[in-house]
Amino acid sequence: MLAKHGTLLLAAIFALLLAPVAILAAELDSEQQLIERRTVRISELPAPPDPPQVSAAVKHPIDRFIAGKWRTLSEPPRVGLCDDATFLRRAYLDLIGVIPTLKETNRFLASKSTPAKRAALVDELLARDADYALHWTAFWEDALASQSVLEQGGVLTRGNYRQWLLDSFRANKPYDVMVAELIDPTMPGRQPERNKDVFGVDYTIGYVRNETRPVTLGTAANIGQVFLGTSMKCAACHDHFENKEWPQERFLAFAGLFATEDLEKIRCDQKSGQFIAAKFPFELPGATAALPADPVERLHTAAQLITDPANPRFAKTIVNRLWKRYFGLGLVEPVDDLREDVPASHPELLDWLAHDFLAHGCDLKHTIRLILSSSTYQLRYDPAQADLYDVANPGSPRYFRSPQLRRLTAEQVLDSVRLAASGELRPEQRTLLDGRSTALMRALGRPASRNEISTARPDDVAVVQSLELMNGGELQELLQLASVPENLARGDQRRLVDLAYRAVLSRSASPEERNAGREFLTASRDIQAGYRDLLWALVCSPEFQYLQ
Amino acid sequence: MGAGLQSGVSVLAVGRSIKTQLTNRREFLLQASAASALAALGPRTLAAQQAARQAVAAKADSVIFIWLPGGIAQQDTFDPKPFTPFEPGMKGSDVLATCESIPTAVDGLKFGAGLENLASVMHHGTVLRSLSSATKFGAVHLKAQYYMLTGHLFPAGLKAPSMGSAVARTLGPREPLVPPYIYIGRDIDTSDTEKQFLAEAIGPGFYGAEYAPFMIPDATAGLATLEAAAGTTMEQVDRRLALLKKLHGLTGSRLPEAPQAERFLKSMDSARAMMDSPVKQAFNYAKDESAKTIAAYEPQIAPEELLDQKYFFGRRFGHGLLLARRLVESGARFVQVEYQYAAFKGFDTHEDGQRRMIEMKKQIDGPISQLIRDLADRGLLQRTLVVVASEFGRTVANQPKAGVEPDGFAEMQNGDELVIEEQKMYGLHGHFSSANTLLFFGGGFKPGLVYGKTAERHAMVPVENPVTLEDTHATIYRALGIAPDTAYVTEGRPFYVTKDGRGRPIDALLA
Repeated sequence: MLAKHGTLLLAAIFALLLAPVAILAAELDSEQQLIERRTVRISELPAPPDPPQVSAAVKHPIDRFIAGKWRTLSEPPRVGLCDDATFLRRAYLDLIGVIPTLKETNRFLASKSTPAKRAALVDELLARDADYALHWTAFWEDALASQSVLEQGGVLTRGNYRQWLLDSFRANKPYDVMVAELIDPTMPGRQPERNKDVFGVDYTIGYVRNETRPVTLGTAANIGQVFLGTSMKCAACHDHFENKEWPQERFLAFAGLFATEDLEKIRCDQKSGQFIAAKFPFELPGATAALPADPVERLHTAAQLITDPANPRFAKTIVNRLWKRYFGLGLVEPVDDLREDVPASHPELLDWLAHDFLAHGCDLKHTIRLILSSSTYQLRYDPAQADLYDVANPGSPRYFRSPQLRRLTAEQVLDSVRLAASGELRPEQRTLLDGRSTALMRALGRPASRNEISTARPDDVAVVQSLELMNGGELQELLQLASVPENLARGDQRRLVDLAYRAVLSRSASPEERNAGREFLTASRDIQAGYRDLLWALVCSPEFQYLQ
Repeated sequence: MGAGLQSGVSVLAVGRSIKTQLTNRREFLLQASAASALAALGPRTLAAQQAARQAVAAKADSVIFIWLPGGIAQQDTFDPKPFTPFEPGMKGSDVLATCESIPTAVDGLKFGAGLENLASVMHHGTVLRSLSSATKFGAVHLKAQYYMLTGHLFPAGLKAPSMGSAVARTLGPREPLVPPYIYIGRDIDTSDTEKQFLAEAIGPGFYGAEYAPFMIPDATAGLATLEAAAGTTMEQVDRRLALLKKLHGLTGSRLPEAPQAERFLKSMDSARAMMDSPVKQAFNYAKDESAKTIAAYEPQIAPEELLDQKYFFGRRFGHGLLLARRLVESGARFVQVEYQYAAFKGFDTHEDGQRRMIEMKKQIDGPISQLIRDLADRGLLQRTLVVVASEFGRTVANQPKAGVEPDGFAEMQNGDELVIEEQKMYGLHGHFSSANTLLFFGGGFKPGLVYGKTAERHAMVPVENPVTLEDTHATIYRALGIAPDTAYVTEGRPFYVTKDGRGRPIDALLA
């Protein structure tokens, strides 16, 4: 069964590789087909809702939707745009996963604040392809459970996607093409599967694994969760207890898309003898319901159905994830569990964003740029007006009058501390590329091992983490990279304090902060140690560890 | 809201009593999802914890979980079989045990030779010989260890929490500055992907960092993060912390109003307090304990005498048990002490079984028995549960290169096809998920009891009172006053501390 799959795959790839001219003349490859199909299918979709007219001043479509809902509040929100230093820090950490260098900070803060300046910064950062790719890859490695090994102690992984992710994001590959490459064996840009011999048995390691029932169901559940924002896992063994949308048969039909043959209904370990025909669980007007029997062709069709613009969950899931990434809360929550009976906080905005994303060729950078250029993204942090998410009431209204406080990831913290302390961060020093799992990394939320998929890092605080920050050798070593510049070693130490603030927090220090810092430095036994203590106090402050 | 909070919390902890009121699991789950917001709030108040425990009458307050991974050969230790000495050309099916049996403090109970000290304290102990796993793990230690420590088979569909984390979350700390879940004896360096996987098995899973184990790799080396970092001083730590708070107060933004900022600073304060706490003092055993006591925790073999001189954790393990005792005295809740696992080393005997078992017994016999004696002398044994466990048992290999059989294949064979030509091949060299032995001391378990029996010849499967892991875990939880269907909600559904909440305590094991 496995050998047959492998042979068909090889045949498909060889056919594509060996006859490029013939293909161009006669037939499009799977990627070209997908893009063509997307264009056609979008044109068949209903027009998206228009952003409401709020006032002449509010032009950005996102702002129009958001301000539109503010009109339903009993009193108008007291909001304002964040200052340049706040925007600077947000843009850098959100787009390239590390704070700006001292030079970049000074340059940005030296000129007057204008919308054009901020838009130009966003463009500049999005153009830093390598850095952009590194930052995005950290999220997706977790979401795909990408691992550096094919097998650990007999437990097989789904493979290593790091390089494919980095390459794809550097090239700004369309998102639907990426998803198709994971699922469809005929996609030209697909990362080839690997073979692994585990105790004398040959396994194929790929994103779609179907050598046993549990692994097939796992494939389907992962795809459902990550790309369709739908948690179907529970329906693997029985009807989902509290989500009526997912009786077991519906999930098994979906899982059948990734299996080599129809799946038997086995409810709570009891076999029924009933086999469930594979079926795509969502209605796609205008798309064929027929599924090929051949496993490779079935996966090819499954990829088309999943990435179909008419698929109600596909585009919405990714734009919702982007929204959550930059605002801290999705338009729908939980982002991995969209439900028909839990409304989005801004349903028309979600529809509009999804349509806009598709219409722009599933270009992630386009939607990211759209979000970061909105005034909504640039609002000042205000704990009194920030939406409170209640897990028991995921449909409770949200207004986005303030961004959420977001915890920096382990990678963001470590990369930023290295940059702030030493003044440089070479690409190969990025934490993402570090194969080790150290105590500090784990304390800051980087998983020791990616055995399960995950779309969110833990953001809780724990004493173990605080001890590591307070006394751990790793952070000390990073801080030791810092040294006081010669010209600031003597004289008024307020300038040194300001330097520390600019290097670590990407802003200048207020007079009170400068005085407090100077007091501290003066009382320190030597200026180098005192400076590193100051850096520590800034690095281990909520202002650094959180993004506001 | 207050009343709702109480009842909501008790739904989660005392699931069983609520179940008698509800007609089926679906209603329970609807209740649970209403209470899920409460679960998301994190640890419960001390009062709620006590209420939960009174409802199920805890017999123990703390656990010392002695984890000896690798797969201990039960025939040479806690479930001894007749000694069949090595003879070149003997068949595998003829190997029943590689050592003699010795009497213990309990009439009729025998242990393998080399465990004389442990034998002398067995009047305090319970021996469970019939733990059997329906899933045969074959060669795969990682899955078996994950199963033993979390009660769930990998992949579980989500990150399953370890038993230590479940106890920490459900019962909380006994003392505010003593972390509820402490882990002694395993290196934190997880450069090896296998070790990274194992880090998950002892971890908090979806519970989050708050319930992660407090790691103490080497009891003899103290704990680095409880001391000021190398190159800094305590004075510096205090100055830094004061500066942090001062500057935080001066920041122009509204960040200080945010609950996350408050929690962050509180955690820093707790960390600082822990540096002066009982945990720190527990490490000073060199000063506090008599030389005689410390000597009793030492291994009875030196690394130079071992077949593999590079794999030796005897001292770390023994001192780890002493530290565990002191931590329990200071108020620890769940302390796991591991003889650090390494594939094919230590208890994971794939060759030289006879000699290796002699070496390992010399490293565990003294320390474990001294721990029991110390706890009994201090009047702590009744309320402290000590568990000794490995992830599976052993059997004869069916071929010289044991451990390469696909899942389940080696389990039922009797070793007839194996011809043992040399000393190296003589021993229990195959993994055996079908029978595993656990020891329990104190904590409400019936002293002097032997429960379950295994066959005298291969395959040495249980022939009397086989038990499942979920029931074994349920019994441990029951001793602590935790209902086996205690659940925490994740991804919109409850996840139970035993599989599907179906674990049933084995009443015969409890006093």
